[in-house]
Amino acid sequence: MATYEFLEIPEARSPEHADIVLADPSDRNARCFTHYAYAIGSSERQWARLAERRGIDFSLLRNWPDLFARNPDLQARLVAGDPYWPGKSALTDKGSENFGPHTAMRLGALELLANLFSGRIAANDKDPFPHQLAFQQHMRAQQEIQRVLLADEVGLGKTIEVGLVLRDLLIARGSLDQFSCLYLTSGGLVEDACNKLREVMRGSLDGQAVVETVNSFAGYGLGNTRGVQVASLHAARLYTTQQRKDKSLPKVRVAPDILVIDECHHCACEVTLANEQRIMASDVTRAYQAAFQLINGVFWPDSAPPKLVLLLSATPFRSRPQFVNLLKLLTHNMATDRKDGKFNAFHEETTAETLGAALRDTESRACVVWRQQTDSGVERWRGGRLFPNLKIVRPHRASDGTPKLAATSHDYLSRMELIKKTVANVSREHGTTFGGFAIAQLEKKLTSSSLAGACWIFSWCAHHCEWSTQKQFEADSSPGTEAMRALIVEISRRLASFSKSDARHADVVFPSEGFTFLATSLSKPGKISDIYKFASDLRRADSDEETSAFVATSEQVAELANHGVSLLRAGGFGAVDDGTDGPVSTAFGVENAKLNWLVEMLERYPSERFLVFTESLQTCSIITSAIAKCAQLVGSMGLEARNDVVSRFRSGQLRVIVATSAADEGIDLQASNRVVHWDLSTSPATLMQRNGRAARLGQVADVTAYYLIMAGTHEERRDQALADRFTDLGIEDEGLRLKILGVLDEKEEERLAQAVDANQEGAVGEILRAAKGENEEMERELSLLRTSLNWHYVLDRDALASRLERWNRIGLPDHVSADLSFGEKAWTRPVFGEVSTTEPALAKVATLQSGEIKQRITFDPEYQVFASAAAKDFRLAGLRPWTRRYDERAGTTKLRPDPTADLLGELSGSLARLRGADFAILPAAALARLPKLGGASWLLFATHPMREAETAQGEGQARYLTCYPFSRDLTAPIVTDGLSAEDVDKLIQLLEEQALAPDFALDEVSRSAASEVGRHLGGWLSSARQIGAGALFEEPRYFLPIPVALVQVVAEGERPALAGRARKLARSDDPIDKAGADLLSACLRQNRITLVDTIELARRLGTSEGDTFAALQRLARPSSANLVRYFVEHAVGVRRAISQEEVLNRIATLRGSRDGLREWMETVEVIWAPPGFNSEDTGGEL
Amino acid sequence: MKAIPPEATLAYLFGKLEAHNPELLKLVAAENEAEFVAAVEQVLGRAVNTIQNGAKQYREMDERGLSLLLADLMNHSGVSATAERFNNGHVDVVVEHLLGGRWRYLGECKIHGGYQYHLAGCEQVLSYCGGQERRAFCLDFFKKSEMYERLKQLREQFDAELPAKQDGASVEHVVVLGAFLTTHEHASGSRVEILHLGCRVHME
Repeated sequence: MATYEFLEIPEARSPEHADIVLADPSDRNARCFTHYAYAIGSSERQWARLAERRGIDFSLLRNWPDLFARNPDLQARLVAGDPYWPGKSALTDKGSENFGPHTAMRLGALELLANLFSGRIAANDKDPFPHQLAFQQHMRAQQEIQRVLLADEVGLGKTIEVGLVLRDLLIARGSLDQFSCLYLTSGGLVEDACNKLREVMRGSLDGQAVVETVNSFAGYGLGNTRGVQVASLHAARLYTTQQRKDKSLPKVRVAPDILVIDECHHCACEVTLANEQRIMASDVTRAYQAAFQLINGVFWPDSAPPKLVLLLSATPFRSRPQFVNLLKLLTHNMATDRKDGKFNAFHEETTAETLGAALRDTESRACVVWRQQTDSGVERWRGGRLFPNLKIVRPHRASDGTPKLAATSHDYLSRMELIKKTVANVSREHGTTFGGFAIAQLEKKLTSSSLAGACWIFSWCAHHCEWSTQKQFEADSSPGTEAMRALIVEISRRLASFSKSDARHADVVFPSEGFTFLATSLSKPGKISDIYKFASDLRRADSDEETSAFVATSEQVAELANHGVSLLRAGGFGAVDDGTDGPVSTAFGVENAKLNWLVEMLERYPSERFLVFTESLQTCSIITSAIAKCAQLVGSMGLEARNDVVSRFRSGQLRVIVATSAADEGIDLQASNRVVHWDLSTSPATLMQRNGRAARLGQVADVTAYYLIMAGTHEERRDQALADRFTDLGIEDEGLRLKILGVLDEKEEERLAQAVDANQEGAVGEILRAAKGENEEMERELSLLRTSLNWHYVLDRDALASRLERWNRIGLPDHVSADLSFGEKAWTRPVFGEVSTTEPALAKVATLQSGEIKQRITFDPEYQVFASAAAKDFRLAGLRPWTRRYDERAGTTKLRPDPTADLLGELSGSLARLRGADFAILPAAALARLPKLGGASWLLFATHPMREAETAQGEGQARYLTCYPFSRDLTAPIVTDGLSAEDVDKLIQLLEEQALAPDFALDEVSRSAASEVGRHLGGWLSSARQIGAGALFEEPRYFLPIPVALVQVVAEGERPALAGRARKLARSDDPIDKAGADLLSACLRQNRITLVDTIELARRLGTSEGDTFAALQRLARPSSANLVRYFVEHAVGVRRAISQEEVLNRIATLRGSRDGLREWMETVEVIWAPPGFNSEDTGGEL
Repeated sequence: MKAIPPEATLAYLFGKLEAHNPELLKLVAAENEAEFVAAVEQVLGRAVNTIQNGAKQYREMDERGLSLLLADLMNHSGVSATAERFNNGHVDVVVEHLLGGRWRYLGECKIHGGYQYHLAGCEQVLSYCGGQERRAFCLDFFKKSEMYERLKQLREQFDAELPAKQDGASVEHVVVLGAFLTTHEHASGSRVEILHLGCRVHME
């Protein structure tokens, strides 16, 4: 059994730095523990893994020969077992006179480092909201949790929450080698999820790419599985049968550590599952089977269950059986404390109630998290709602003064109908249906723009054609193929006509297929060989689906492609008066009506900016070409180009941003509160997210959303039908309407579309009523199961700024190679409202410099977002995770801040290891702000680097740095669990404020008494410490505080400061300070000092009268609180102390008579003495 | 009874302090705040002159150093001045009556950084005032040339924009060259005057 002791190990190359380590000096190969293992947040509970991460081989900690050569006594001390005790470094002769300020800075630095992974001031410059932080903190504190159903309402940022948790886990593991997460989501959302996760996890691992998409699910496992791999859930479900597995899946071990299933309601199952075998029956959906296999580690051969499973859905409850089956997925096989080890959710006796009870069990390893937009914890950091008030305007029937959207011509509408009918007929002839939902999708394209419609037609044709070889395609001159060639060329020409260049052809991009027809190839008459490749790609993608598309006849393809060409040719660009009354419309093109409306809006609100969302890249190009001061924001743009567009928008150079769904998330577009939905997404979640794009950091302006709906279309009928039925149900709130629509699954959405199409009011009402009921039932069920989460205190950016400012004022130690300076930058802050304005603002900035490296930081996120280009020189102040670095000289790998990119981390790391900085003095009066510390005489600060393994964590918080207050008797801390993070922060602030006042120093008596206490508390630490099990079969217990500093709380009047002050002054080169030192020494010897003493001393020392006087004044400056003037009046036979007030009054009374005043002043003796000196009790001999 | 040694008397101390500040009696025996403010401004003006005379030595000092120097110089003249807090880039100076806190004269010191920056200092010192103070000051150390011209422009801008609830146009300060006074409505409803002054640490 190891015999652990605390040791102070000085840094070999920098003697001003040291580490306090807990080690067994007799066994240098044993693990040891120290403050600076800062990595926190492992999902592992096992001691071994934690020790691997937290513990450091004693032999690796230092370069021992180097260390012993520089510290000859160290080896002897190790052998002799001369342990470290709290305060030892400062209280023994090594301690510098600056121990007070240095201790305050060291504690402050450790507190900053303890917040490295708090997520609040993270390196990625993206501040989470309180409810998001609460989830991250919960997951970090509850390391035993294996399964989570995260059912937060749409818009609360589930992907970001998961990203924060994954980021924590990744940093804790320190390298991609130890981290493999498979993130499954709906096929169409893979890119989107990938972008969001990248945003949150940026900077978490030394610039390495940690999030990637999986191109082919079957290949997952063959290539890279490290980091977060985002794949399609729909593809995963294809490989649930043994036959498909044998055929397609890799024959190697595939076992991701973490599994996330986003949109997990897709894994729905309606049937009763009374045993595990039942799951593979044919009436169970493939998605459910896939989820079951993945969660239980049987999807791949030789796999293993993931250690953490996160299921995400805003609508987990579609029906009771579905919900029960989802809970079974969540809880099945989770480890329990029961004898049989694992929970069997598929037992025939398992009911909804037993599942609920298992989840609510305090020992449960699974939990349900569910928050709503209206919950009390869902708000901004300084309070206030998170979501804007939403006003929806439908310009096609606007009556509030908004410009009216002109109706599309009957010609266009009838052509739309013709195209829809043609597609439906062709599908029917080939035995498939082209139903309500698909029709709605087509119509969305056609109402977006004629080009978007034509592109859809071309894509459809390519999808339903087949050629066996390129040659065959080129030889094919059938009407269908020729019509397709004509269509793609026409699309290219039309696109070019919008372009500002003279080119006659433009590239045609099909973003969702990742395919581009280049203008150079389309401009040459010929066979356009890319069509073959495009069609092959489309049909190959089908192999991942359960069914493949039919092959249409050449005539059918020709008919449809010709419709596309005529759609384009007839669609003129530019406003044409159609001769009817009312707004100017176009002869044909749908885009003209919408463009005219947008132009009118831009004129109506000349100082406003607009966000326009469209689902079609082609439409995006049209709008960008037609509108001045307009730019697009699309998925294919690089980050730099996106940022450039956003910053030009914010600065007012651009008035319109046209964005596709690729830009729904990831970029903050809060420079406008007018959102235009050019074509209306049918996804309520998308609509909510797009409206939320306009919400502003720190303040929410109300958002006006314009739904550009074409009159006479299915879209209008759907919108009107839904609005009418919602009104029937008494639901007027647009937010609630979107929420209820969000409950619908794809089948229900399709039924709804069909009912709208067929004008079946009753059916529409029925579907909505059922959705409303489901929504209410879901809320009831979830509220019973949910775990309540509250965020715990962590430092924010203001606290970081204050800390750095205080360090600057205290003065950094000479050997710390960093310079700090502060300033403010004046800038203009935008204020959004009904009409947007600006206001002057000052942003707090700082410059950090170390050697050649200089970093400029700002503490105001809005300054960086909205201010001019100069603000780009400033990085948002934040803490960055440390990375593993190989130290060539020491021959070891250590966790360290990046010295070129993270000066703040370097500075904190340096201050956290200051030597001789483990003792400070605090006046008792300062503790008045912390009532729970009443009666405390000593404060012991300690870190808990092994805190996840510790049994008692107190208040449910995992705290890295805490403080144990002791009363004079020192038997046990007054607060057993240690102080909360918030109280510790307050204490450190007090110590910093104290450090700003003149230094405290110790006389020998106080030093010796404090040392005695330090040794005693060292004993308490040893006796309280628990590492593992004490005996065989005993439950292992952990409690491992490592001391940082000892703080003495002193009452007024017993400040042991003057001797130290005298010593410090004596070392100064300034003669005035030296004279002051002599004065103080005399004061200490006699407990009083008079002007006579001063003059006599000065005379003896040869100090000039002027210097003596100046020294006296300097010492007596009120802020120094070292000496106070006392006045004693000598009247005949009477001596009495008089107050300053009385002296003042006498001077005022006598000021008319100079002689009288002087005469009285001769009778007043001035005594200079320390505070608390009792001038009335001086006896006869002054 | 033992006689008081002559050097330990209040008369001796007072004489020493008067050697530094001939107006000491007015300062100590001020009967009202107006007298106190007038006396402090004499002290402040002298301290500013001392710094300006030694501009060559002091020009490398930063905001906090210059403010401490100013406070020390004022201390030597018989007021109790502390340059303590460092807040949002400004140094807060508190001037108190030598023998007790009967009246305070609050101030802000900073390196000159233009109108907006000076105004932020004024707003800050106004926020520290409780409303009972008659006057506060806002001092800019000028490291750039043409201090008086810049002060003039500052004054013109204050009069043009009447910021921080300024009540009426500014008036010239008779003691300190280039300085001017503005009156502001305090949050408490009272009126507080701000003395705007400059201290040149720039060498022509």
